[in-house]
Amino acid sequence: MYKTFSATGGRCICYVPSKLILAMKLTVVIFLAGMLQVHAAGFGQTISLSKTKTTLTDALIEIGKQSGYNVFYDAKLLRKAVPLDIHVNKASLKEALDKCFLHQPFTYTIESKTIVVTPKEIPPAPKIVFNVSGTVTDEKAQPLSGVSIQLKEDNNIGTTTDKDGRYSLKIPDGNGNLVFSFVGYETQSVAVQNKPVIDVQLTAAASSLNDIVVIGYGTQKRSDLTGSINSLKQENFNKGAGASLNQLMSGKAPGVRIVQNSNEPGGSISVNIRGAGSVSAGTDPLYVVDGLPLDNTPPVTGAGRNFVASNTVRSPLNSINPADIESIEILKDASATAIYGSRGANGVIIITTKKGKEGKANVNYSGFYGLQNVAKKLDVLSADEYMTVLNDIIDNGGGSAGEKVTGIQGSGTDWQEEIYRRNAGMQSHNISVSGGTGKSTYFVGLNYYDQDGVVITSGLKRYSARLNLTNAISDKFNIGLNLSTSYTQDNLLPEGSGFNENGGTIYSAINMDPTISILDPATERYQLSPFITIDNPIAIVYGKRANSAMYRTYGTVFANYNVTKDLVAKVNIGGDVLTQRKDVYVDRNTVSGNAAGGVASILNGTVSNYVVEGTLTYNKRFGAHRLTAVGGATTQRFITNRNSLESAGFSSDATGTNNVGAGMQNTYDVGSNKLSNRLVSFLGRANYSFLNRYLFTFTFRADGSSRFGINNRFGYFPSVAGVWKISEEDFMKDISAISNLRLRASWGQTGNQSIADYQAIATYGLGPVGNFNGQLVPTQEPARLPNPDLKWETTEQTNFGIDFGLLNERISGSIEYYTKRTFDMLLNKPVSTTSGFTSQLTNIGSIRNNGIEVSLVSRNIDRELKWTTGLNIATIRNKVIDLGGATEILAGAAGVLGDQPAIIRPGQPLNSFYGYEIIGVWQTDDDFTRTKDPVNPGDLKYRDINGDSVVNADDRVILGNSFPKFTWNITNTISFKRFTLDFQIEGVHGVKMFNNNLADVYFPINFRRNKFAEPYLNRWTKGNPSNKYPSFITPLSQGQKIVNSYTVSDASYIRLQTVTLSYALPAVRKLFRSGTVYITGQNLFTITDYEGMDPAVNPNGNANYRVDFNAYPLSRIVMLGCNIDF
Amino acid sequence: MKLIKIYVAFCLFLISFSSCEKALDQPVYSQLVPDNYLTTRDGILSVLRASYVREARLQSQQANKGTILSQEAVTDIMYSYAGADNRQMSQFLNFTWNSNLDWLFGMLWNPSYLAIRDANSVLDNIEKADLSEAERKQFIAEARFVRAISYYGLYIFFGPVPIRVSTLNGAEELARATEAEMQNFIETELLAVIADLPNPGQEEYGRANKGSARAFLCKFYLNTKQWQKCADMAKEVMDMTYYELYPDYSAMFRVENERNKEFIYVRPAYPAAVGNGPSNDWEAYVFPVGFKSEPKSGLVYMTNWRNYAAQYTLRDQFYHTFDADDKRKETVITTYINQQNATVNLLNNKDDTRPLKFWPDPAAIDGGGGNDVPVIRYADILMSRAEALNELNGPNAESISLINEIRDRAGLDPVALGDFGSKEALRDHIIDERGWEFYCEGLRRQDLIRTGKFIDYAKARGIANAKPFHALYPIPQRAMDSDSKLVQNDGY
Repeated sequence: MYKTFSATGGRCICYVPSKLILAMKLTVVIFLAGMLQVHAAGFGQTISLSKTKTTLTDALIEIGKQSGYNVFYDAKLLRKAVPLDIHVNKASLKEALDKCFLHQPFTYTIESKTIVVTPKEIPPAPKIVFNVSGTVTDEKAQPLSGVSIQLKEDNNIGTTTDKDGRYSLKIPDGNGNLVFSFVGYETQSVAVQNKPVIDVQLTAAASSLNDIVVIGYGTQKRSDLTGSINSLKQENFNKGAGASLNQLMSGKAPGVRIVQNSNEPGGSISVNIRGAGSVSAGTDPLYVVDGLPLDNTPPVTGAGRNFVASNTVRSPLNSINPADIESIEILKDASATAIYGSRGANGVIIITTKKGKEGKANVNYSGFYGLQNVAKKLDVLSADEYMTVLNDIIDNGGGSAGEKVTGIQGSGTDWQEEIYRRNAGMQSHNISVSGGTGKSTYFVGLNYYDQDGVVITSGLKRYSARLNLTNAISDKFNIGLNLSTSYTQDNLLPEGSGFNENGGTIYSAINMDPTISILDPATERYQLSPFITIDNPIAIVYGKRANSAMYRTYGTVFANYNVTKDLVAKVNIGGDVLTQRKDVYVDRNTVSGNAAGGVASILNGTVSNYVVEGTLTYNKRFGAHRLTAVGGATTQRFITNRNSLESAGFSSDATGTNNVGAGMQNTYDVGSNKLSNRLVSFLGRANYSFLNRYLFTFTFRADGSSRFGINNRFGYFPSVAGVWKISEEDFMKDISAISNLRLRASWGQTGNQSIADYQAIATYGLGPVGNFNGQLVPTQEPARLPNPDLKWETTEQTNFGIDFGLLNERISGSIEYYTKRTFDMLLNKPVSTTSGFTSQLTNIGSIRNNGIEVSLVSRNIDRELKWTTGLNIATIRNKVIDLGGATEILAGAAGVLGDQPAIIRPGQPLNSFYGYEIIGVWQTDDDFTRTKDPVNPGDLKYRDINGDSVVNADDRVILGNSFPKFTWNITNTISFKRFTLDFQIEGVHGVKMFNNNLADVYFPINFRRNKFAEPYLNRWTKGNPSNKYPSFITPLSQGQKIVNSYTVSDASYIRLQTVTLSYALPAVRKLFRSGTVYITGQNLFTITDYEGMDPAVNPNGNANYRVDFNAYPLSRIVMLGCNIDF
Repeated sequence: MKLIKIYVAFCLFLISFSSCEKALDQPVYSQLVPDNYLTTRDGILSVLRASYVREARLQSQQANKGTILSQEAVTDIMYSYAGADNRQMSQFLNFTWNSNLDWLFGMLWNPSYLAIRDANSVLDNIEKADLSEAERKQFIAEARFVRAISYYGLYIFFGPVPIRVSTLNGAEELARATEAEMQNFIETELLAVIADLPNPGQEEYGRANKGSARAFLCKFYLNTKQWQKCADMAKEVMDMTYYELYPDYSAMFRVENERNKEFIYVRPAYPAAVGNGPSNDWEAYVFPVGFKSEPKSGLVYMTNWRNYAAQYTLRDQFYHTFDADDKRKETVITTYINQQNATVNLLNNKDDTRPLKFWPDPAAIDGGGGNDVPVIRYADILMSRAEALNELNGPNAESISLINEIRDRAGLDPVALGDFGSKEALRDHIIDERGWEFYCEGLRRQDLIRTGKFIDYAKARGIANAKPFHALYPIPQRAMDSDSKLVQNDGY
């Protein structure tokens, strides 16, 4: 604003919305006018103007020029102006303006050298009859500048204090109330009562410390927390994260690693809190929504016949509407999670949904519309490059003469270009009504979410509804309901780790011969290459379709009874029913669909559970002592039910999966199964505080699970924590720079029970199908080596934390150190394979995670221009300590692998990549007697670790792991007046990912596949003796060392994740009370050396073992949204 | 306030749950609990059948890759290129395999031990099962048969291995048997079960009969060079007078003719999508990419067949040894018409002729056909006796006559006793004749090892690193890692 002002030499013609003018604070005008005075001296005080049929705008601009006055108006408002004739000579400003406005539907006011155009119907500003002034100071009587003073009765009257803390304000009469507010201080309201001087001392608010944080089975003031908990409120959430709740918190909490498994709409996400503490049991945290521990077992896990599905199935968490969420609490240390006992070891994420608040009905609409485009394509050879490169390799002795590229059909095909959708749309619309009367509150929400994928045919739609109610039956007794229901429709893409004929859309687009056209000109069918067996990418896009419909209804009913003033009894009964049906049809456009005459699969599943729990809460203060205690019992039972139908050989593709009986009977394949497990638990917690300085928490949970052996049914999980609020001590009161300082320490044990059902007992399950007497006959065989001693995996965690607030909370933050040791690990321990089993689930071994987490919030500038920076930094070290005697376990499999690319070895991080080190390329003048391997100049040179002149499996080394050494996330929020700019940058460093697509480049499955451009265009030739890229003439001559220091790539990156510019709308009476409009850009740029589609994605689905293969591309998103309260 | 009293009572009830241990016993819905399942005939039979299916390795293409291709790509007969399989195959082709080669575990080692486990489960539980004594005897004999042939397979691949005869000790670690223990176990078990197995033709197709046990014994004696026992056992099979040569060599492997009296023991396949049943997708590996039709036989590609990236071919050096009149090479494709209607002559490429021995099943589902894979044919019994007699006595009339039975069917002129001046000369002919007769049936590796030609042939193909120790595969690394008592084979 200031810039514009100077450049125009004292004129300020501003196009601002009328609503801004209406609500414009006097202070703004004065501020501008003050600046103006410096320059205004040279202007004349009279106006001469002669124009006919001119516009009001032009006339005002001229008047502004001559007078040196600012003119504020709304261009939209002035469209209603009527053309005018004006003839004045040396008239006063007022005369000239009066003439201009004579027939106009508006009027003007002059405020300190500013002409403000306003609609006529607006009542004139109230008569100013009373002057009030004074000084505002802080607790230490230092003047506070920039304090906002507002007349409570009229929002349009207000001011701020100057640098000496002084203010002066004209108000209509002496009866009103002044509201003094300043960031970091408690807001104060003072009745004027005809006092001309009002001095005010503000007290530091430490407001965030008074926030209520939801913890397991209760709530606490943030300042009383003893555990390590990150609490995110709505304003902290990532904008435009409509598909899943995990996206809301990505990057917002240190030590919480959120890895997108697939970038497709609704693609699943791995969440790891403080590393990975388990090899064979799950590493996902427990999600608790409004007191209901969720079971996120996907109802349908199968892919469907001839359909290669993503390695990671869609998470049922997608059924939760992010817009319903009020807050997310992430419980990290044992003090916080031990109350969840056997499910607490991987951390707990508590989700609280929005509730109605007492008062008038509030109708809210929020929504956005966005466009998505592929952020990065894989750089493969173009048709011309492909022809040149492949033919050149054949000429130099590679491939075979029959494989020469003889021509390009048309201009060839950029297959990736053909499968991507440009400007794929995404939108979300939420409407909620909430409110409350004296006895009850309500929240009703509806959501529609629709996202198209950037790859054709992929997409997600969700419809959801929520109803949250509370009602006080009496002073002592209240009941409530939290209920949500949703329908999620997924269009799934064939992707994942299928290869060759079974490859999905992206795999085939990367590998397909670029010199052929999409359709075969002769047959009009999708064209196939005579050299490659993979299917045509477009045939896969349109010929392999999978849709999933998921219905989820979950909720809790609760009742609280205040037995006495201090004792509350609560009963919570909840349930969750998740039903999914997936329809997969592979039609005759595809090779496999054509071979089988259409293939239909229907997969059904229902996952349900119920929870019943009762708790008693006691809360009492005895002088300087305060005690809060919770005790209770809970049981939860889980049931999973699945079935599937498959058939093939249809006379037409037209009926798809809607008539599977129309297939040939000998292709029918059916299946079903049912599983259940139950938890029975007792829990207790006591919080004790003395003088509000010394706080202690003791937690205990006893959990029984049907999953464990008859000898070890119950596990016991204790924790203890203490806090010393140093800043509450008397000796700290005088240190003004430190507004908050707390030291925390906690210790505790938690468990992990996320293993499959029935692992402890011997059962016989379905064996392979055989042919006996010319019939397909199913068989049964032992399902496992039973382990009646099977029990919980236990994680022992110690946490130290410092919470601090400096300079009146201008800088606040926490530093934490934790060490987590998991022992009695649930490990699929390799057992003698001569038993017919390869492993047995056993409690052995241990693993350790430790790290430092820092989070900081700094209010860098806190005036009219506000600038806040939030910073998270986390480090993690993961180390396998012991495998119960096993020296190492080779692990993992992905894509086109023979060897297992990862190793679990004591002393090393879990699932370290294990393979060969490439040290260059054999050059013509190298000493070839050093090796007994069949190598030629131009072949890759591997490090011969044991020096035996042969590079074989004994020469493998650890090449890195999937745990980033260091992650950071920085969020900046800059607001000025009604504008706010947010941007978030994420950095991940020191992490490796195995790139299976790159392995296909170095060890091609066949010669005529397309390849990554960079290595092939810069390959070793006699003229270009590269020491990096081989000649690719005989890429398989040294065997297939596909796990090597090239394919295990550095996946570090820095990414500008989101940029959001928002504008707070002023209220429009009778239309809406408040609102925000915003524009957001996501994934705008990434800095990385990673050669694949996206260094942040992990199609393998396990954040502790990252394998990139046929990743769905990242999209760059631009969206417009708004949030309006009516 | 009554409501509230009830409510408080309810809360107290919840907080004091009792008998929660019982609540933790969850029903097992979709699996079977051994205590009551293995006491029934159907339960025992189902597990017994599982052991047959595991041994047959028709799941997930194991038979084609594991027991045929990998057993012949290491010899003078087969070659393979392209496809993801090439990552494994190149190690077989180049004699660069080591214990980490995944197929050694997945295709050779593990299926055998799965079959052994299932057979042991039958034997451990059968005494309690409700069966007639006759059936109990037969089931015991069958379980021991499957177990014995599984150990025979392991012995051929890896040499002596740990012998586990019960599931009751869980995964207790076991040391490898000695050579004598291993041979003794296979021999005595197979000998012992003959009596209780049904006569040929009386068994459920796909299961063992007396002939199967004798045929395996014959092959076992042959490969362990117990020549007299081999010759005798071959005679025993011949004397059953049940088995005979099928008159038409090429037609024998067609799905419509597979239930013939030459196939003594088979891996029984059935048309099913790969992964859904025990099907045979041989043609999908053998068809050249872009195959449309073969003019000589009139074979036209059907849409229910598949064509994989991996290419199974014959080595030229082998293909060219066939006599021009040999009917046994009728199903080898040398020219074809591709999807662009161009005629492609595979003989113009190196090592690229296609052994379409298991002629594609028109009823195949998604490439999975029903062609049974013979494990032992009657022709092998005749050739085994011919070989054993030669080793015992040198060239002799009976050996020549047995060989001529095979040659006659192939449309070839008979050989004469006078053609062979020495035991070695006849042995060389027998090995050639076996190549033409049994190519692509997974026998070549053991034939060459037995006759001492395995490494020489490899060296002749230019594989300088072929060493005598390659005659045994290494114990797979996963097995080594899982069992501290295992000792690796020499050389690895």
